Amino acid sequence: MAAKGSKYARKHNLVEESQETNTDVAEDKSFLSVIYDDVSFLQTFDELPFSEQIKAYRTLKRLAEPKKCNGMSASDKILAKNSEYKLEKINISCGLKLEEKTHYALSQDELHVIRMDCYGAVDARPSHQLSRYYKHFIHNRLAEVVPPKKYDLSKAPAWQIFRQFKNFRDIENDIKKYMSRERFNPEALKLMEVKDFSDVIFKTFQDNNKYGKSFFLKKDSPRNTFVKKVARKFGKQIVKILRKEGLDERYVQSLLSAMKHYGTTDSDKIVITELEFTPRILTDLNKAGISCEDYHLGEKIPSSLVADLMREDKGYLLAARDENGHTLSGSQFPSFEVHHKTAVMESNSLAFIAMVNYDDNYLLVPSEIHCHVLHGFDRLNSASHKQAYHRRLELINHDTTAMFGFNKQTHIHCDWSHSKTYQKHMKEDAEYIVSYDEVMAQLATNRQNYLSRAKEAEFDVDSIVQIIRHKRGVDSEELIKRSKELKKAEKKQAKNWKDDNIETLDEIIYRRKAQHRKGRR
Amino acid sequence: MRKLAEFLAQCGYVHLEKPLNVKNVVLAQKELTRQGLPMLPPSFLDFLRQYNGLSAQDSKILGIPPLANANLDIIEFNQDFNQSDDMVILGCDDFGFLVYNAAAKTYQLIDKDSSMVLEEFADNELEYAVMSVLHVSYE
Repeated sequence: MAAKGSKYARKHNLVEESQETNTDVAEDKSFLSVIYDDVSFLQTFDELPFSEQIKAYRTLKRLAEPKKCNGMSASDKILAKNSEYKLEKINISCGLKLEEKTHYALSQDELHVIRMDCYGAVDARPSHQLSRYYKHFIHNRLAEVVPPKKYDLSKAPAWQIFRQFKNFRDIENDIKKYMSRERFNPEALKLMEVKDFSDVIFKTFQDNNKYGKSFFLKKDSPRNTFVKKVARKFGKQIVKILRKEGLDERYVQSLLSAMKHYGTTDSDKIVITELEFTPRILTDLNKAGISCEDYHLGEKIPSSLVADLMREDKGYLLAARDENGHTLSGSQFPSFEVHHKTAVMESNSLAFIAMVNYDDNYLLVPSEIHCHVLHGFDRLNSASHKQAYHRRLELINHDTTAMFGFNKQTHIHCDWSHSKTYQKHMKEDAEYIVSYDEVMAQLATNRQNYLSRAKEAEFDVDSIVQIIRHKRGVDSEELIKRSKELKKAEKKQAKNWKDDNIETLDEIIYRRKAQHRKGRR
Repeated sequence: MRKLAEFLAQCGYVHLEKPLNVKNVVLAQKELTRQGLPMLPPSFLDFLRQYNGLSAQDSKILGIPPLANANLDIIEFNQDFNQSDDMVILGCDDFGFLVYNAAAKTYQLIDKDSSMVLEEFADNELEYAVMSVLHVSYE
């Protein structure tokens, strides 16, 4: 918070909430009644509009927290206790409870995979994040193409982390085809790390661009699928709740449509359309060359026309306008976000980590509640101040699937776990559970074997070369005999390599050493 | 950075705030310092010159006030969520905070619950960090 009266504070009007004085009450900031009223604050809070409720909640939270730099005076402590009490009552009244939790250890790799699975998008990896083994195989590709079936992903330890999620199991064939096309050595699979695989996924689906994103999913991400399901199943209820909140009907219908068709909940991204034909829309449609013979002024715009124009990126032709003729912008209206009820870091507390991206672990919620309430107790701490536990707001009723406000009447409940799809999904995923530590131990063993084999191969060839060098000039007959033997061995290896159509690590080393020897001779 | 800016410009879903005002940058840096936080790194300021705060699906990059979307205010956000003295929060998604760690001179994605480092990017790799938090990618 800027210092009271500072230049910054004056410029940005930052002196507010927690430092309110009596003059603020005179400014009729209705949310302050929650702060000053100790008796009926809960009722007052319920009656406030949503934007004021958020202000009241944030103010209480700031008042409840100990001051960062200076010590607290006795009056500050009383105020903090009082605010904490009010927050607790408000939380309970809207179905939330504050819990103190200890940390479950979850690896960086697992968290990385969970994120990718949730959004269906893969991050491009900077080169230094890739393992040297993977980089080695990128620079040393096979001379010939190997059939995709030779890439056995079940033998790749790091891939087992991905395999726990259905979305990644579904793209295994695409990855195999990509690796085959790019002439990767199948040996690489056993040595690759999680981030190496995300690089492969990124490159496999690089051309699959939608809104500029690189998606690896053929269908929707679990997040978007969830939003679509909620919109389709509870559409009428959502409209009723949002209407009651006093939101513009055109925004409500456009939001619902965007949720149903695209899983979009970000109001900035939503094109708000008119519900009925207006003179301007008919003119615009005519100008765009769309026949308007069947459309009449004041009639409801058919949803098929809206969907068609949206698909063609021409939704702006139906854009809703205010009384001044300006297009209604989505940013004027609330946005919604998807929250993980069980935190990703807590995935280990579930039956298996893939469940963290199941429908019943998602909650659709306004972005303000998501940021300032549900994640309101998240804190960024320096490494030296990390605590063994953290505080998090949990839902009292785990079946809550959407909350459009604080009031319980704006909450929607659903038990997704009874559906057949859910049960099937769960049964399937349960077969692919792995222990991260075991998988990493396997990767370490594979790498150890790889290195020892490489060392052995190098030792063998080097020792032979040394012997030949030593004998050169001493026993020329022996030298000729030895070189003939080597040539024979080389031919035999080359024949085997062609038969298998795969060059193993040993073969690569052998071939290279042989080439090296030839060059020297 | 320009490539990323062009890419984001093509993405219809990100909310684009007004261009950055230099005077406001100075005031914001002063305010962050007053809060005991490190100053914003030059590469991030370069990015803010193109996009002063933007919001995407479940994630956001914070900007320097005044902003049309008050939820993107970097000063307010740091005041509410930052208890460190060597990191400044630049954005967030449902999983973590995107921060600049002044001590390590790196961009980091830090888990909201455990403060564990999820991703780490060098000072000159801001574009990877931004793509990571916005769940977009390009090549």
